[in-house]
Amino acid sequence: MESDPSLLKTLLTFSERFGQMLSRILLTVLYYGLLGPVALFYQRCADPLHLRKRPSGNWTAWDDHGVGFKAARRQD
Amino acid sequence: MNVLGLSFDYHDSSAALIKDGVLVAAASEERFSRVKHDSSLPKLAVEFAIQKGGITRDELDWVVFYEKPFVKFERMLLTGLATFPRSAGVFRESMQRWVSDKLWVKSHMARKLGVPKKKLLFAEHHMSHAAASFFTSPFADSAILTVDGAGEWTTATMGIGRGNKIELLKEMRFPHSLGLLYSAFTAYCGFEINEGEYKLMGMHPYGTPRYTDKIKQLIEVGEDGSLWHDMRYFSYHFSRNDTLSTAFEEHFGRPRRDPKESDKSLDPYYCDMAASIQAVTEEVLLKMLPHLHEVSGGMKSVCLSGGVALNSVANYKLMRDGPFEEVYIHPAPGDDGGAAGAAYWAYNQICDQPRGPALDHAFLGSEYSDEQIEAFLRENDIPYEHIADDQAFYQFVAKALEEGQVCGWFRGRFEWGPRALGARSIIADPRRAEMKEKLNSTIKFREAFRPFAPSVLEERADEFFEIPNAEKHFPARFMLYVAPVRAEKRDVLPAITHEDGSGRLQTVFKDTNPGYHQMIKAFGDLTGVPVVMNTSFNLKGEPIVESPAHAFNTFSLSGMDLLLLHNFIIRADAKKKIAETRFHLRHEGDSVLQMVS
Repeated sequence: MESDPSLLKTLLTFSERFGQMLSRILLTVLYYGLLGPVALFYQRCADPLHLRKRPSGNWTAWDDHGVGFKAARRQD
Repeated sequence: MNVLGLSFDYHDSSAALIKDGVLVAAASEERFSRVKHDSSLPKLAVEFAIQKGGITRDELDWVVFYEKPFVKFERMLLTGLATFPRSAGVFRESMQRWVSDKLWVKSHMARKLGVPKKKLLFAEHHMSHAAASFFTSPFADSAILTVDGAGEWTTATMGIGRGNKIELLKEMRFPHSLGLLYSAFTAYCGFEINEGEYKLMGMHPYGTPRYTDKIKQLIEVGEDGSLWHDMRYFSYHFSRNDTLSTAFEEHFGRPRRDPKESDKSLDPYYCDMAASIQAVTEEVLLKMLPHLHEVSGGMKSVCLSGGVALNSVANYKLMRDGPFEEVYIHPAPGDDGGAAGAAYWAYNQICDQPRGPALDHAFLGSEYSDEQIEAFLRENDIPYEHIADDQAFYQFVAKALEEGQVCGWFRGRFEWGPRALGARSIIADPRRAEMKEKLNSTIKFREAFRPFAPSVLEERADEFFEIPNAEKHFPARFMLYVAPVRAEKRDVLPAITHEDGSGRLQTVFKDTNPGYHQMIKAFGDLTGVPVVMNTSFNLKGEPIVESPAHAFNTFSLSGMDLLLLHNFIIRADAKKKIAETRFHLRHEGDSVLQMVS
């Protein structure tokens, strides 16, 4: 039995869009459900964006991610 | 040793190949793919670089990505936490992109380029910028300043280069960023971010910097040039679509300009705003440099890099008023140049190889032979003339320009970086005031206020522009200075003299661009003015042309009078549509989400 190419294309498009919608729902749930409580706590004890003004200038020491081949191979 | 550098997944993806310390090929993907600001993995540019280097993929020793993706991912996560719950939209969309694509950069490179994972290295974003500038500079030792929108976390660095090593000393971190501040005002004035910044710079001479104090109420500028943004006025750290908050618009008392209006007229208020943010940008940079001078122990030279180093108005003032005797800027200081920087970092810093020669030209792209050009013209049945003798050809071009004709100039390898420097240029007579309007309205199809640049013989630059010892100034080779046109020459060069009496000059050297140099010299012999008007060979929103087919297509779609493919001359009556030269016109710039992630 031969498959209908247009039907396959429609199914593929549908599954892509459905997958995207699902991932958006999951990420929204993750953001509010899992990240939310952590964020509320985190905002009280850390200021990674330096939203609060620093007393003296905004240059900081360079955050070196290591030197040499071992560090160069890493993505972090 | 062969090292390939890559930048992609942001904008202007590029590839650069270093062969035994020499940058032998460098190009942006958009030139080949014809998608403006193409951000995809630069497969076509890689293919070109490898072929130009005369090697195979197996002969690549290292392939280097220009940033550390996981560090950027960490920034996205922590920014999401710090701005909860306002960042729901940006978190959802950026995570979709990261999880499906950006987190797998290593695998993508290995699979799509056919390179083993053990050969893949990752440089830090600002280290790539620093390396692109310092390792291609003529300086043995130099201070280094990098300033852009945002890398992983970093938005600016100060460092020192000595021999084949760079040491970065200080950084500024997201969201406090001179580049993002400039982009915020780009959006406020109705232009596209990551696209319209140079339009804002082009608009600033029409205004007065009357809002600098109000701008400085949004930020704090330290005496060391450090910046702190009051983020209540900005929203690029949590919004998908807006760089500015409502408080920003309330602060200035006027809403952001409708983007539909930005191309149509010069609203005095927004011109004043453009002049004001330009003045603040210069002030910040002019505070950074003395601090860097002090930190570097009084070094004599500085290498600038990062997207902010494309602000050629500021660059000239840094050279003129800053504490450093010499300034160097790479021809591609933005993220495209990160590809070359990553490769240099691996070659010099990691592999401990000696420095190669300084980069004294930007002609690192593809080229076409006379045979290939003639074959293209014949295959497409395009009538042409050919002047075999070079001197006779240059005299023909000089005469055509003098008569007021606008020419598409296509010669040699295309330029590395965003500027057309006489390999893929549209040229015209700068003495004719009407040329500015003609080029903007009938050839480039862009805003009437947009300025044009002059190409001037290096040995006579000082006669027309305030740039003594022009041969010393590398940035002027790459069209990265806007210098005052000498007062007595402003009437001589009306088409390239900006409203404030300045011009974004390019000095043309005999040894690095002989054909262009001789043509300008022929024009100078004929008219007494060794200067031509030079703009990039493209239409608004189109990548600069790469091949004869692209050049002919752009020629046919515009009001140019002559097309000059090497010494082949194609006249306007030969214009026609040919099939294989599609390109994707893109005007919309980047979204805020793309800008920060």
